[in-house]
Amino acid sequence: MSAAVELPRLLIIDDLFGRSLPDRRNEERANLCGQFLIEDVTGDEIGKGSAQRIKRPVAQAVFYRGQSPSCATVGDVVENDVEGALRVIGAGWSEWMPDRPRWAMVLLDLCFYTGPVSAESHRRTAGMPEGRPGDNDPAKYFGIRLLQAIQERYHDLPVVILSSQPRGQVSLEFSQYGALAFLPRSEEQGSDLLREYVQRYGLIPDDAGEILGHSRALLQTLRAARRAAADRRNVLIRGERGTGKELLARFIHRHSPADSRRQLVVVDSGTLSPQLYASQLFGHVRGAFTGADRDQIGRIVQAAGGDLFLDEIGNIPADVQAGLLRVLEYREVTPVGARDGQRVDVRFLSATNEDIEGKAATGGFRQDLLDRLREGGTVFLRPLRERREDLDVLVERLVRLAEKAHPGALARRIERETFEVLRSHDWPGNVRELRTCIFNAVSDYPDVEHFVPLHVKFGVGAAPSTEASSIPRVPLSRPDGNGASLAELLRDVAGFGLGGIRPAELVGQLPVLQQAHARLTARLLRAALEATRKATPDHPEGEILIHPAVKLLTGNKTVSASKAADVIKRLLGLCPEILDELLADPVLKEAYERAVRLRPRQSTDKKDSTRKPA
Amino acid sequence: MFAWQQRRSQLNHDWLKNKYLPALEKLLNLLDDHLEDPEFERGFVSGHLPAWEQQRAEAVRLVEDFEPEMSPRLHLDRLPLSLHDEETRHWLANAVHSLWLARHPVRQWVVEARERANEVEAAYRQLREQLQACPDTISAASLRPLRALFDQFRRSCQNLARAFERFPCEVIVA
Repeated sequence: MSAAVELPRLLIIDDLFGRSLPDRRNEERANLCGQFLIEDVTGDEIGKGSAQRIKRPVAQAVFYRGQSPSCATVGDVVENDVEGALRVIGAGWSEWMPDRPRWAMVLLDLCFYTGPVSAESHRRTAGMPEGRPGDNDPAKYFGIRLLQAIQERYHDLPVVILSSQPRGQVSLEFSQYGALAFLPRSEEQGSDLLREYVQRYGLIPDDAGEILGHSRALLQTLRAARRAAADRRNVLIRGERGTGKELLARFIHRHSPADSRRQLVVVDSGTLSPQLYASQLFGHVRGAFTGADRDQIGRIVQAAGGDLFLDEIGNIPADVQAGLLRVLEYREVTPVGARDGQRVDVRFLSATNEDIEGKAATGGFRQDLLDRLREGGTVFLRPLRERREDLDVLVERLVRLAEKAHPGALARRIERETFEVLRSHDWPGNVRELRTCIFNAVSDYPDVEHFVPLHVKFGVGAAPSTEASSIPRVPLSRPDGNGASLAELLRDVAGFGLGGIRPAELVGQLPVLQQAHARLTARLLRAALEATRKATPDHPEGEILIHPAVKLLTGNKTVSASKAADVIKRLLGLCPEILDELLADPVLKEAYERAVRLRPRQSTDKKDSTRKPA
Repeated sequence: MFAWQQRRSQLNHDWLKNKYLPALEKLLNLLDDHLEDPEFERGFVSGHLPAWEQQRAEAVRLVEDFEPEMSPRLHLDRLPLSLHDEETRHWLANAVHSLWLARHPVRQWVVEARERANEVEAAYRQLREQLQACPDTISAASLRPLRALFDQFRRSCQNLARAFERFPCEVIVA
């Protein structure tokens, strides 16, 4: 059962196309929508002349001027409005709601004209001002300033520049401040390019409706999966049990180029017996071993031209790992007992819920094989507790499926309290546990019209998780040595009440507070550095890597290595007077030294933004 | 900003790329049945398309004005170089201008832009001739046979926009 296809929703910030006109349609906007096949859902054009209908839209779009007033006439003075723009962005970003989907992407203009709207400028283009000197100076584009502000406040929001200005003027700046691409407004086949950018950069749900959810975490996973699907390199999927790794593998397969989408063969390493593993995977010839009474084609050959999904790779026996590495390196499969091999073209989509890097570091899994399996990237599936926003739509779907699976079960309404109860659980077994819970509820109570909290039983069919989370976790401890999760720690910090403090106690306390803040931040950074260590021949204990650590800490996968170095320097330099104390820690010291080697000068972003383009 | 830059911005950015080309692209999508917009085709043929006739002269002037109006010799008319005596300013201006022509493909830019403008004009004339042969009722169906001509006209306009973009956006001294 698939959901109706949802169109991605874009926010387009542009002075010309975003302006409202009081008495008529914004024809320029209508033409842009007609050019890029966008459905305008801004809502300010209703009742203003004939409605344009896009038959197969690439996306929906809300247009925003980025200036105040949004509807200007002769005599008005138009000014750029950063805060207004950030408010509009935030309203469609922080939380998903059924009637207000999250922005899949922002398209941002560069040059915004400001100043008074004169009779002449209004005649040329209704509601547009004359413009001021500097408005179309690349060094002062409002679009770049807004891009900077978006990067600071909503750094994981995808932004693409949509402009008729020459790309070369701003290619450095838009890259520096996190824009992902440049879409020329006069592009031929503009709708095709927009569609490509939305697929590549946009945070959009699964259009097939098989992987449900709108949380940022899930949408980022789907985006990473779509990118990984674009070529034939092997992909590793990481996620706790029950998160839907096989479903994600099918998603990747479905989004692959058509000519490589022959079939997807699924192999669950957890269900294969070690003795038959090699035979199942590589095939065997008659007589290869006792009981091998005929030739058998292996799963890898079955997947030729397509994809092979290898689940639970941590369970692959060591001898099979060696054989698999040969397949990946030489693209040739030799069945058990055979002399000659066969060429194959197979992409491996592998998955694990283990800390496979840790296992490889301790020799439990071949590092060279792991590197081959993830050469096209690693896609992380977040656990359900990190994407509670998705629970409602999952519960809704699972209840309907359960009702169908149980003949005679009544259709039921899911009460609000039930949603709250379900949201309060951590779901160690993730979606699989949720499914079991829902199906049990419907099975136990088939003859009711309301799904109430009483029907919910947690933990049934979900054994407590004893395995390490596949997403790197760093243990924290309180000063008394008791463990604490990061969430608990930050809750403690945020929840401290400081009422009833006498003024005298506050005297001179700011430096103390600043130092405490700097120490806490340094510990957070240290935790990220530890979590992203990578074992190498030169560093068997794990090399300190500042770039992955900053990506983990900021949640921003697009941050550059030089920016990561700046972040390290900034975090450790929050309180210069305790820098020596912090650098007494060898991990922080090494990270700081690497950052300084990479970026010996102080970064001055404001200075960079006024650099003349090449 | 020099007047020529302002004029180029108004013609190429504000009109050609922000208004004229998007409308052309939309028409092509309409002819390809990707969208519907009642009365758009009629309004386009009678109101939007002929805008080239009003802008044509300015486009040509802009091309021909580039060399005289964006030459670095203009700096000799401004402080502090304008403080030089007449004779110095005269030979210095000529020298600077000649250096500029030698170091940058100025004449090539002008020639290319002129040719692109001529191509737009040629494609426009061809289109207009065919449109006059169309029945009085303008519709997507009646315009569809002319799709190739509209596409040719669109490409020529895009090429003109690119040619204008090749002109530098400031007065180059060195």
